[in-house]
Amino acid sequence: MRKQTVFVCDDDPGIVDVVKIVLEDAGYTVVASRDSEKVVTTVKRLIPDLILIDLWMPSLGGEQLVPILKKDKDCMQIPVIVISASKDTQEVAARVGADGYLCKPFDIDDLEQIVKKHLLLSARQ
Amino acid sequence: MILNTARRKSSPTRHRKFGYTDPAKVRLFQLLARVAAALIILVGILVIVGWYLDIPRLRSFALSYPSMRVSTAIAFIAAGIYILLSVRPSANGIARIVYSVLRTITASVVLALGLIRLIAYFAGFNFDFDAVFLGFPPAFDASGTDHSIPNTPFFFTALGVAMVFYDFKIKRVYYSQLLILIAALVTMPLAISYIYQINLVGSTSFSAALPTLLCYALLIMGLLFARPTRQVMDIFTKDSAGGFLVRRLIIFAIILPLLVGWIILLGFRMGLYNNDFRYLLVVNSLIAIFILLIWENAQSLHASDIEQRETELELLDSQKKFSALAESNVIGVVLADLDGFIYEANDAFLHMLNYSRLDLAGKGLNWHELTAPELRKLVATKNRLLMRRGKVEQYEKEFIRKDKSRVPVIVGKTLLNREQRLFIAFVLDITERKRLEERKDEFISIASHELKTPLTSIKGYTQILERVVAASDNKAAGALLAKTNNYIDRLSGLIADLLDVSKIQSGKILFDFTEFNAYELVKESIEGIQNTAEQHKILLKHPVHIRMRGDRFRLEQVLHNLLTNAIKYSPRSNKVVVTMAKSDRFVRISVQDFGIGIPAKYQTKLFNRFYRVESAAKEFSGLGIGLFISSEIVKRHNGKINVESIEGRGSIFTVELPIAGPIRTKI
Repeated sequence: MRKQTVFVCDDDPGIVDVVKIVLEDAGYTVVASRDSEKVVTTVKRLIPDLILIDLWMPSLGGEQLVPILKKDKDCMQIPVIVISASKDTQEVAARVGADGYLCKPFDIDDLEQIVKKHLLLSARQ
Repeated sequence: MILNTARRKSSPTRHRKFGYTDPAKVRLFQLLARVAAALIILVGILVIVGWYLDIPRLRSFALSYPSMRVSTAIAFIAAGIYILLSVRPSANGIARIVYSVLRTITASVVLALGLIRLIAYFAGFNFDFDAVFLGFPPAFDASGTDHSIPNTPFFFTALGVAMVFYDFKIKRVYYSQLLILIAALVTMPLAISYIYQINLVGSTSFSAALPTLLCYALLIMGLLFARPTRQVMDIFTKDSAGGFLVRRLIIFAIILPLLVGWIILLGFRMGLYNNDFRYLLVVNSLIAIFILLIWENAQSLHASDIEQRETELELLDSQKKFSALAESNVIGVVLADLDGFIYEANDAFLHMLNYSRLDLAGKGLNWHELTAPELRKLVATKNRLLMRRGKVEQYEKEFIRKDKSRVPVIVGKTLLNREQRLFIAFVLDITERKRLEERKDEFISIASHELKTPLTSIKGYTQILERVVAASDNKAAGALLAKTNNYIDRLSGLIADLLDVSKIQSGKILFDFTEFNAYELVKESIEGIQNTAEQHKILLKHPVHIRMRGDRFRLEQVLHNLLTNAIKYSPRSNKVVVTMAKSDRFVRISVQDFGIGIPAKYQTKLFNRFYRVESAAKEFSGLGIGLFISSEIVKRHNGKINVESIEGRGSIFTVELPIAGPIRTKI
């Protein structure tokens, strides 16, 4: 079975690093990016199995990017999980059309579980 | 608006009328009138008894003087009753009619007796009234009564007329008072002649009986005193300088000339000087008496004038201080009434709202109309408070400027005049403060976001490390990392709390209401805390399974806070008791600890932001925001939070939350 690919975008290198370590350890291929400007082109080129994206980043954040991704016919079926430090995360996630959310600071177990859950969900469809 | 313009013309500060009638003095004079009336009746009765039982002393008071006639005694009794009935004319209903009839009858009796005797005197009849009343011809005393002067008939005729027309006035003048004064003036020589033992008509006997003269004086006093607020008498009852002077001087004005005159007469009778010298002495004494009274008068007037000027200066001074305050323009000052009409406002206030003096003087400004529409109900509430307590503690509100923009302010009010419903308001523009608050909220929000980002990495790395260490079987390192993880959670909790406070303050906190089981909420909260509690056992008593509605995450936050506090503030105890209870509309959750407790004086402040009990603050760390956040969350659920505590014994925090849905009971 081929390794599933997770695309992660966060402007903080530490978080990107943690996600990469945890998810690679769990057996996924992780493609990380800290440049939110290139998210759409990268995703379209890569077509990952799941996208993890920070809601608020300088210039362009998940709040702007998720709706774009969800409207694009190439990427719309890819599950998107937003990560944020704000308490309103849940509300914003629902508004922009994300499939799931994760509040900072998160447990790495929770990270693993949410990724696993959404990959299973999308595989069933 | 019409009302307002009309009111504008009259000054808001109506001056108190000085020289008010003093009610205590009025009552005193009315009492004196009653006493005089009672004495007159008493004398009249004694005289009649004296005649029937033939006791001369009762009818003349002194054997060498003439007796009072029976008819005179009857007239005095009637007059006495008249005065008693007249003191309080304001009876109601039937009593009023009875009073009025009785007064007319008694006044007519006096007038009739006077008139008949006056006519008889001038017509030359010897109409023996007394024989009619007594049933036998009166046996006059040896001295007899000289009837060469018809003083009694004249006196009763004059006073009878005055009594009949007692309460009538023509063009605001009571002529009855004038008649009473004339009668007084005419009888005065008679009284003086008695005192000086002068026989007015040169005969051997006196022209009036002693009790008669006494009653003359009492009757005149009674008639004048029964209406103490009427012309002539009114000055005696005023609380002004005039009232004071007349009350003080009148006695001297009567007694001094009488006394001096008597001494001069005594000297003359002893042959110390001749008649001419006597006049010289009289005139001289009168001048001296006048000067003395005027001098005394002037002294006290001077003193009161000086006092008044000093008061005026003080008043002016305090006015200056007040206007300095109002015009310093540090703060908006407004003089208005409870209908909202603004009489005065300083430049600071007008400037705050972009209005000009012309706007205030022209169309006028109204406090209610200047208030933001949604806050007008608040104004009504505050006004009721103002009328009840005389002042209103400062509160925040918003005014609408002339250009329709809004200005946030703090207002404090003081009632100036209850009858006119006038108040002074102090208004402080807090735009800058509000802006700073917003910036502070924004700052806290950014700061907590920024703090959370590195914290996420730290937490991630720590947990990865935990996994690595777990694989290597190094138990000591594993325990240390678990502790590190706990502290990271505490730090992220503190950051979250800070953000919550700023959101609660700016009203931006959002709630996600769902329905859930109250028991599960409590159970999960307890489990969450129990996992990290090393020393304490958390016991749940009386679990209640009931559905409730609320923001589960936020309510869990409340219980977390109460449970962590219970553990934190009971370092020497080993248990915390959670009790559930329900009523028909609420579910109650109590968290009881057996720790240090909270002194009573601090208990009410406990739910304030950043409040920490001083004695505890030294021993226990914390920001003092947990209970504030909890109480705000509970309030937003329409619930209640309260505390019972005994210092040194422990505390019970109770949260009362509404249960789900409307409860319908079948009748």
